[in-house]
Amino acid sequence: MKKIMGLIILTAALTLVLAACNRDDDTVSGAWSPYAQPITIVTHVAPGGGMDVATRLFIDIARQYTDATIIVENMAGGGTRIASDEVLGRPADGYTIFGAAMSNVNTAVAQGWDLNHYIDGYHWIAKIQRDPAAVIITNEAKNAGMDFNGVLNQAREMGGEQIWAVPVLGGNKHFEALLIWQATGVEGMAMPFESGPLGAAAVLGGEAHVQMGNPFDTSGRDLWVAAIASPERMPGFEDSPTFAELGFPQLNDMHMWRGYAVRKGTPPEMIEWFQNLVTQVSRNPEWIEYNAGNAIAPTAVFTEEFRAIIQDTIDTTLYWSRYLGILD
Amino acid sequence: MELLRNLFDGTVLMMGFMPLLMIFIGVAVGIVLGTIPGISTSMAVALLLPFTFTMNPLYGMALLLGCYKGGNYSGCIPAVTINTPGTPSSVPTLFDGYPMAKSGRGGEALGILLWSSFVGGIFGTLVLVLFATPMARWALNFWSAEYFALCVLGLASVATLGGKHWQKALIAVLFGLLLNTMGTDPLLGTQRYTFGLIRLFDGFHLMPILIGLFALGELFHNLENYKTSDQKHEKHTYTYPKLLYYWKLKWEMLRASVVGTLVGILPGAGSAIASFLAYDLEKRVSKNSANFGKGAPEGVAASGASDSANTGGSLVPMLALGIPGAPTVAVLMSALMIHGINPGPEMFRDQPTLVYGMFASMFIASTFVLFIGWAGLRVWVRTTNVKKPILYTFIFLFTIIGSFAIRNSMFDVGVCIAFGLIGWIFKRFGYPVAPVVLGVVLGRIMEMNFRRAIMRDGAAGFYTRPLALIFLILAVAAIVYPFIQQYRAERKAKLITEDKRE
Repeated sequence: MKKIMGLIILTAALTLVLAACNRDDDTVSGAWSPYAQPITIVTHVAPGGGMDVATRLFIDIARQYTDATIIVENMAGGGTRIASDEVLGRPADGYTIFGAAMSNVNTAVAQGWDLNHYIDGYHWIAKIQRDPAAVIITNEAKNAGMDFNGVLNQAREMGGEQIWAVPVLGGNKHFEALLIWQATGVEGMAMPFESGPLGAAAVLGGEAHVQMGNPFDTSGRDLWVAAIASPERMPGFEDSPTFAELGFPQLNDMHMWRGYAVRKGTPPEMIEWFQNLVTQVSRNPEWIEYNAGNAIAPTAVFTEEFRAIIQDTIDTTLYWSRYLGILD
Repeated sequence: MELLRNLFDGTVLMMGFMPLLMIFIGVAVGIVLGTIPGISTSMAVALLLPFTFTMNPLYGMALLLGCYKGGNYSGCIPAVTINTPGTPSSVPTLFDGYPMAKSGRGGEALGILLWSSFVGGIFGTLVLVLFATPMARWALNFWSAEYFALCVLGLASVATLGGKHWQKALIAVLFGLLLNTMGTDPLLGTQRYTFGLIRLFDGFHLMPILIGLFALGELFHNLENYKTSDQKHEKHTYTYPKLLYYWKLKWEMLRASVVGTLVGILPGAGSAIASFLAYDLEKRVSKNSANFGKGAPEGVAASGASDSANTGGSLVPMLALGIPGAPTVAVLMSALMIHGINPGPEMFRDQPTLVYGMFASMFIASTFVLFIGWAGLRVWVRTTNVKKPILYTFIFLFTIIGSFAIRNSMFDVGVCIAFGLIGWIFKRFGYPVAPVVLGVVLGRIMEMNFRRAIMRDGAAGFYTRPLALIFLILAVAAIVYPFIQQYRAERKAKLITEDKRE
C-alpha cells in the first residue's frame, strides 16, 4: 500500500513539474526579476557576425552592472526570419530578447512579410549602435588624387558603368548607393559581393571601383573613406569629409543600426531594467573604446525614438524596393 | 633577417607556461569537437571566443588558433573511421580512408592523415610567414571570372571521380548543382523552389547533406546486406607504420600542401575546392591511380595535407589585407577586433609581437596536433573494431544529433535522413555520391561568380582575362584527357589482338 501511495505521490509530483515546465502562457504573474531565469538574446547572425560580436561584448560589460545570467543564441538563416519567429514564438516574459539589426527590417519589408507581426509584434526597446554609411575607395586612388568628387566625375565619364560593391542587391547598402546617385545626379552599377570584406577585396583588386560600406570596412585595409555620413568628422577618420561638407547634407544621416527588441506584452519592469542596463553599458569606457575602434557611434536610443527610426527604415525600404521593382 | 628575428622573438614569447597551455587546450578542444560530425571548426572556435575576451590578445589567439588547427585535423577522422566527413573539405579523405579502415588498415590511414595534417599545417604556416603580403596581392587579381573558372576546374575532377562510369558521375554532379538552385536567389533576393518553407530560404545546409549521403547512405546499405546468422565479428589488429613509410609520401603531401595553401589564399574559394583539386591532381599524377577510391594511401595524404595547409593560406588575406578568407578566419578576426586590433597590413607594423607570436603559436599548434593526435590515434582506430550492431546504433545516433546540432533544427534532421535514403539509392544503382557534394559545394560559388562576371564584362571576361582562360582550358583538358587515354588504351589493345591473330 505504501508503495502504491508513494507511486501516486511521485506521479502527481512529476505531473506538476511537467505542467510547470510546459507553461506557455504569455503573461507573467508577480514582479519580474532578471534573476529568476537566464535571459536569452537571440540573434539572426552566426557566431562572429557583427550583431553577435557586439552582443557578446555587451553582455560581458553588462556583468559589471548586473548578476543576471544573459546568454546569446545564434539562429541564423531564413533571411533573418528563423530568429524572429523564434522570439515571437516564445512567451513575452522578458527572458527572450531579439538582437536585431537594420537588415531584419529591410528583409521583412522587401520580402512582403506581415509587418503587423514582424515589426509591430515587437517592442523596440533600445538602439545601441549607429554605423555610418561610407563611400570607400583605395588609398592608391586617393594618392593619385581621387576623392568623392573624383568618384562622381568618373561615374559621369563611365556612363553608368562605374561599379559599386554592395553586399546584396535590394539591401541597405544598395539603397544607400541609389540615394547617393539620386542626390548627386550620377549613375552607377551596384554589384553584390555578399559581404563587406569581399566587397573590400573587389575594390582592392580593381573589380569594383567603389565600395558602399561603413567606415569600419577600411580598418586595417589599404582603403580610404571618401565620404562619410556623420554629423561631424569621425575620430580616426579625420581626413574623410562628411556628406554635408561635400554639399550633400541630405545624405548625412545614412546609417545602419543595431538594437534590441522584445515581444509586445513584455513586463514593463523588464523593459525599464534593460534600458537602464543599456544606458550603463553605453557609458562604459570599454564599450565606447570598442565602438570607436570599429568606427561605430554607440547610442542609447529608446522606445519611441527607436520606433521612429524603424519607421524610417520601413519607408526607405518600401520606396527603393518599389523603385527597383522588387515590390509592387 | 628582421623576419627571422621577429619570428624568434615570437617563439620565445610563446614558450611560457600560459601560452603553451592555451595552445594545448585549443588543440585538444578542437580535436574533440572536430570529431563530432555537425560541429564545424568555425563553431568550435566560436565556442571558445567568449573566453578570450578577458585574456591577453596573444593568449586568446593562441587558444583559438590551436582550436582551428586541431578542429581542422580531426574533421577528417570520422571520414576515415565511420565514413562521415566532419567538414565538406574532408570528403576526399573518405574516398580512400574509409576503404582502408574497412580492410583493417585504419591505423595506417589515420597515421597518414596525422602526418599529412602536420606537413600541410607547417607548409601553410611557412607560406604565411614568408610570403603573406605578395601572395595576398596576387589573390586580389582573382576576379569573378577567375573564381568561376577555378570552380569549373574543380568540377572537372568529376572525370576522375567517376572513372569508367563518368556518365553516372555527371548525373550526380548535375543533381548537386540543381540542389543549389533552391533557396533565395543570391543576386536578386527572390525565392526559388522554397515552397514557402522558411528553412529553405537559404537552400540546403551542406552538413546534413554530407552526413546523410555518406554516413546514413552507407549505414542503410550495410543494414540491407546485414545478416545476423553469418556475421562473425572480425577484430582487426592495427599496425602503425614506421616514420620511413610516411617519408615515402612526401611528394604527395607537398603537392597537396601547395594546392591547399594557394586555394586558401583566395578569399571566398573555400577549403573544399582545395581538397577536391588536390585529390584530383594526385590521382592524375600517381602511379597508383588505379587504386584511388579503393584505399590508396596517396589519396588520404593528398586530402589531409591540402585541408591542413588551407588553414595557413586562409590567414594570408586576413593578416595581409584584413579580409577573412574563410568562416573560421572571420571568427578569429572578430576576436582580434574585440581587443581593438584591426587585422591588415598595419598590424605587421603596429603589432609585430602579436603577429609573430601568432605565427609561432601556429607552428607549435601543428606540433601539438601531431602529439595529441598520436595519443588519440589508438582511441579513434578502435571505433572500427566495435561490433557492428553497436557501431551502427552509435552512427545513427551521431548523425541525428550532429545534423540537429548544426542549427538546432529538426528540419536539418529530416534533410539528413532524406539524403541518407538518396545516398543509399545512389549506392544501390552504382552512382557515386561524391560528385553530388562537389556540385553542392561549388554550385553557389559558381553561380554568383558567373553572374557577376557576366554583369561586369559579359562573356568576354572569360577569354580576355588570361588566368580565367588558362583555368578553363585546363578544365577542358582534364575532362577530355581521360577519354583520349581510354581511346588509346582500347586502340592499343585492339592492335595487340590483331597482331596476335596475324
